[in-house]
Amino acid sequence: MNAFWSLFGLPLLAKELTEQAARRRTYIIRTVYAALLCGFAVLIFWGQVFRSINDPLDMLGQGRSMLQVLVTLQIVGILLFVPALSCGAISAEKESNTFGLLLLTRLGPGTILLEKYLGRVFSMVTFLLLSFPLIGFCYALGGVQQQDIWLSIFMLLTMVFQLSALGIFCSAFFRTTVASFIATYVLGALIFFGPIFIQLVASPSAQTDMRKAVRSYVDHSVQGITQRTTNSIKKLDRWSGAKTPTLAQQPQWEAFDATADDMHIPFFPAPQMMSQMFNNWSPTPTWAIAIRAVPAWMLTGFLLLLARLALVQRAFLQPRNYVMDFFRLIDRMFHAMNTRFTKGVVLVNDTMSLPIDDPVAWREVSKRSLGTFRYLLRIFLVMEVPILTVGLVVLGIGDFSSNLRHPLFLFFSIIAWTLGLLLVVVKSSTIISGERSSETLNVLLSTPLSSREIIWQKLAGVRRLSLVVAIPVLTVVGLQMWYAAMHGGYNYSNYGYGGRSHVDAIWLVYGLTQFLCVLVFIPLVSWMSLLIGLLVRTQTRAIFTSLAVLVAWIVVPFVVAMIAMSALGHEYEEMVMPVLLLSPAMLPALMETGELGGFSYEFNHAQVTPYLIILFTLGFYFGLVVVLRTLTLRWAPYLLGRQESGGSMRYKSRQHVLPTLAGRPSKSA
Amino acid sequence: MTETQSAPPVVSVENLSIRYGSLQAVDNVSFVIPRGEVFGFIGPNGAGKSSTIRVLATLQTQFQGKARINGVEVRDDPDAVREMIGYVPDFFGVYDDLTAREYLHFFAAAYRIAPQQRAGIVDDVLQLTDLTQKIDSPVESLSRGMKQRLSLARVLLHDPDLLLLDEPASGLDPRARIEVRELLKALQEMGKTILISSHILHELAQLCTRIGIIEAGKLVAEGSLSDIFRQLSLKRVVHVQLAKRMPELVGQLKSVQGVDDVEEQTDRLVIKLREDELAVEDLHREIVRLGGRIRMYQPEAMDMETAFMKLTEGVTA
Repeated sequence: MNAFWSLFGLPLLAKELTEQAARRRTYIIRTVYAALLCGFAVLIFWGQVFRSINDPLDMLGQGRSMLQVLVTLQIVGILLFVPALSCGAISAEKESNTFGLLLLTRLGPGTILLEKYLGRVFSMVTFLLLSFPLIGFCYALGGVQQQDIWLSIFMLLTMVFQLSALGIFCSAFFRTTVASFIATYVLGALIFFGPIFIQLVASPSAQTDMRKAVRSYVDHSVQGITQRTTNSIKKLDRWSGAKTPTLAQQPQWEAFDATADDMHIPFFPAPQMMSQMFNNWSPTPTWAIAIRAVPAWMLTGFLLLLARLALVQRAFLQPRNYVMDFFRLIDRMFHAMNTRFTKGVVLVNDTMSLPIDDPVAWREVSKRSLGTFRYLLRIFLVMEVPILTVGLVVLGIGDFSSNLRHPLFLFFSIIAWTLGLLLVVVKSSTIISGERSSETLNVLLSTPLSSREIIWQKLAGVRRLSLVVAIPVLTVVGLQMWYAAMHGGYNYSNYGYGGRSHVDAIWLVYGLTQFLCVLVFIPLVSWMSLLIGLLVRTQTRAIFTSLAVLVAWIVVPFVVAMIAMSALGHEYEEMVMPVLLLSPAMLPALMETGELGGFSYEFNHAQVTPYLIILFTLGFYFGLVVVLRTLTLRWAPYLLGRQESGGSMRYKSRQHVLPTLAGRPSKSA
Repeated sequence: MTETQSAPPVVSVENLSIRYGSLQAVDNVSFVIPRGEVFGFIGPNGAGKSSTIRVLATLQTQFQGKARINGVEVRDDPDAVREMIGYVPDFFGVYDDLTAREYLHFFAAAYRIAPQQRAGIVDDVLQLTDLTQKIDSPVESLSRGMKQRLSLARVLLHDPDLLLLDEPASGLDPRARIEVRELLKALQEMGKTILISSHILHELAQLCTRIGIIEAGKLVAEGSLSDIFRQLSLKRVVHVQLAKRMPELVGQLKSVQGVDDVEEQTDRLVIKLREDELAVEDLHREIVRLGGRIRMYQPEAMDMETAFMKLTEGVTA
């Protein structure tokens, strides 16, 4: 009997679930997820439903719109959580060298794959279960039919199974969890949204104006999540003084709108299914809605098949250092270019110097790949040359008719900031965690160098890199200012001022503000990443934690502001809006989009001007830099993990260094 | 009173306790290492050896008790302590992107050695560790044994009083182990005080003048090798082969004062005796007195492995 049941036993699944159940992290994440879900749901319910109700009886029948909000939130949760949960299922076993042992057991590759897959699916299903009490509440209010609930659950499960399959495939294909993590999100984005770009490219009408089409798609996505969110954007635009119509009012959006059926996203059925489920005007049969999920289920099967094929073939991959490979590629490329164009002229040779005073700083700037002059120059050229070349061409063509700001420079600004901050995050977060990973930190800590000195010297490479990445950002700023200076015949009365001289002054403010943003935000990101690198044990975790914190810091204030506006309504708009300034991207973004002019508003009966906003925001972030720097240096001994009594060290004379060695014959002699 | 007698011991640990959450890693450990001694720290994985060494290396922020180097309390003046110690962690801790020369100059600068003295000192330590030929080789190209010798060269740069070596022979091949052992013997001859932890007991036996055996965070034995052997030889085992079988002798021997047990095996008698009551030489005389003609008389060697196995129970903290 036992032998019979053992045929159906799922030991790996049991182990996976037991492991998950034993981890404290599991319960923390679940609690946080439940709190966020309930918090956002209650806020939106209140803002969208309860605020408009005067009589308790009016609540009856409101369950349908509440269910729509709830399902939308769950879709966002699935998109964020499932790839992260599933991408390490197999790659983690590979990294800990236990996957080979699994393959040696009597479990077949298919069984291993299936059990790993189900382990991740079950985990995410528990997250879905968290919303059931809220779904029950919606159902109790009325307006929701049973088939709506079943369809919602079916749609969410479809996404869970599909994204888990994608994560499992990437996990089976890649050697490391990091590579699998990146690939899962990139492939997910391509699978979900790639078809629409293919359709755009293939369509002759769309080819004529690709930019409009892409913009329309963005509009559609925004509106697809929730109409109220789009309304919040309108409020945001009104508040910030945007001069263009809101995204949802663009003419191309209206042309593109029609119905959700027009969207060519067959592998992302949720928007289409929701559009039909919650369409009160033309109800669609249940089977017609459910059939929308067929391509997603087919893709799920296909991904599992691919994962099965990759599972054994890619079980024992040799480690590769992709960063080093990339730098070698760049090396070869530059060497070839140098040989071809200059016949091998070398301006700066790699010197054979030895450290004198600051050994840690010496190593950072002369031995580390992101610190040496050679590589920094290459990074600088790779970023600067395209910006400068294209920028000068744009200025040369002289298309000054459309706008005060050229959209290309906005694009360049985003690219330069993103690349620059990415490099700074990677470098800063790994300067200490890298020492910890390679187990050299304890050796360094046992020297007389103070913790403050170690950190300060370690930052020498980051300071160089910061300078290198700042130049392209400032180049874009300079080009934008140049463009504006050459811009003829514009009327900038939207700012409420007239006259060329004042506009020139505005551009001076733009340039100065962006310059100060560079001076403040790059060190801010650098110190933040360094602090995270001090707290986290491995390089990979330090990089991803720093990136996650940075992205969350940029995005969360927007999300909170939108939800708060949905919940609180117009009268609290001005109170909520300053929350946006808690996003470090806000000030540079407002400067680049030219919307700061409308930032002037009344607060407590006092007129707050854009200049005060700039000063306050920059002062706030500069204060954060000072706080982060002070705390990091003050807590350095604790963060590095050693005792310290303080005091500076000077050269020690070693007149009698190793006296016993002096007369000792060499072993090799 | 001579200077040596009045000077404090190089290492003095009193009631040291370290706790990681609910785990008591080190529990009330005390020991002393006089100048010039080589102290072998023996214990299974997780016994608390590395944690104790980290306290002395000023790398443990939370601990209870006292730890002094040359009379300086680690907690009171860790900067001064770092000047007196050379620490080699259980992992090599070398920078693969440097050459051997750059690596040593890096640490010479970190130890604030005057620039004009560095080249000479680096040459000295490379000569001692037999790495002169590798001075311009990248560290990543060195073998594991060479990397370990380079680590030892590093800790000699500032001529510390005390070397803290955490598992220095771990992961080395036999040749590299012998090279490291010989190097440590040379350092011992120079009068360096060394605290060395290892699993390889017979190597420590050849090197150490004192040992401390730690298990589950507790120091179960500490002292010179002879002290510990004497303590353990209370249950000395002697193998005796007689010219002819004498069944009556077994009973007679059991009644001898100091004999704990006699076991008759195929070709020999295995006699366990309490050595404080009956010396090994006296047992020999007793057997002869009882008429036994001895072909082989072999007291079981009390090596460090036996001592370790006798003193420890395989418990982890």
